[in-house]
Amino acid sequence: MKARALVRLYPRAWRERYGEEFAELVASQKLGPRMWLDIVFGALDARLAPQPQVAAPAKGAAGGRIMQALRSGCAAPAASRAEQIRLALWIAAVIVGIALFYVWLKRTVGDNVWIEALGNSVVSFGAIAYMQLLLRQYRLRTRVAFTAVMLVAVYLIGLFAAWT
Amino acid sequence: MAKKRQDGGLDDLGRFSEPALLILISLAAGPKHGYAITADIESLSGAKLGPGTLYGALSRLEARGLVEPLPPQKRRRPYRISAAGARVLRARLDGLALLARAGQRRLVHP
Repeated sequence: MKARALVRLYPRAWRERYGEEFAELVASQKLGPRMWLDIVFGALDARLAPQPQVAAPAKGAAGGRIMQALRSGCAAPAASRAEQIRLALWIAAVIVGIALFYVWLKRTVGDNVWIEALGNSVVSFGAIAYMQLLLRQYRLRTRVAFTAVMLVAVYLIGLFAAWT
Repeated sequence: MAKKRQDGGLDDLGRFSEPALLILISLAAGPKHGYAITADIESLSGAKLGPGTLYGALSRLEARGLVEPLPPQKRRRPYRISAAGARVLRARLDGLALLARAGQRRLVHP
């Protein structure tokens, strides 16, 4: 693969700033597996943790918006250490809370598919809790609607698993 | 407890911290473009920086004002170390020199 094609792995704003010189450097070196990996990881890094001088995503580009949303939840520069710890505690609290509620229901009400479905869905509810951070830049109405749909979908899948 | 380094510039670069230090050392000898930086670092330390690592570190150094891009020459853009970059490099090298001396003393008098 030519150096120019490898540069396309990087986001557009990055390419506009560093593309020429990067391609020149890649073209001047022998491309072994280690070099390939280095370039791929470099492209991932440029997409997930863009530096201010190349941070502007292309307007209206779906990829740009998705990466921006992911960054708001995942990337270290966007989420501080305190936020990451709060998020981890929040997910742990959701999972443990629902698991305890499931155990309590099972002991007080007894076995039935509705309760079993709740038990099947505990970990997925933790993932939905994580989505709250990914979606935090959106309006409350959008977040509530998305979360409600996800909760129902996950519970229905848990119910299906309990029935079969 | 170990005293935290306070040279304000490289500690928060994570896996790019060491490549950034090597780049600053290379640029301390004068402006260079990407290929010259990699070749210089390889001759200095034996470490060969891949293009992804080099530009990951360079973009971070540029964002922090520790290196400055110069006008491109053909398709290569040289970089030079800034005054802030020289301060950060000096502080980091002083810290490393202290650490090296302490290590050598302990080897002689364990």
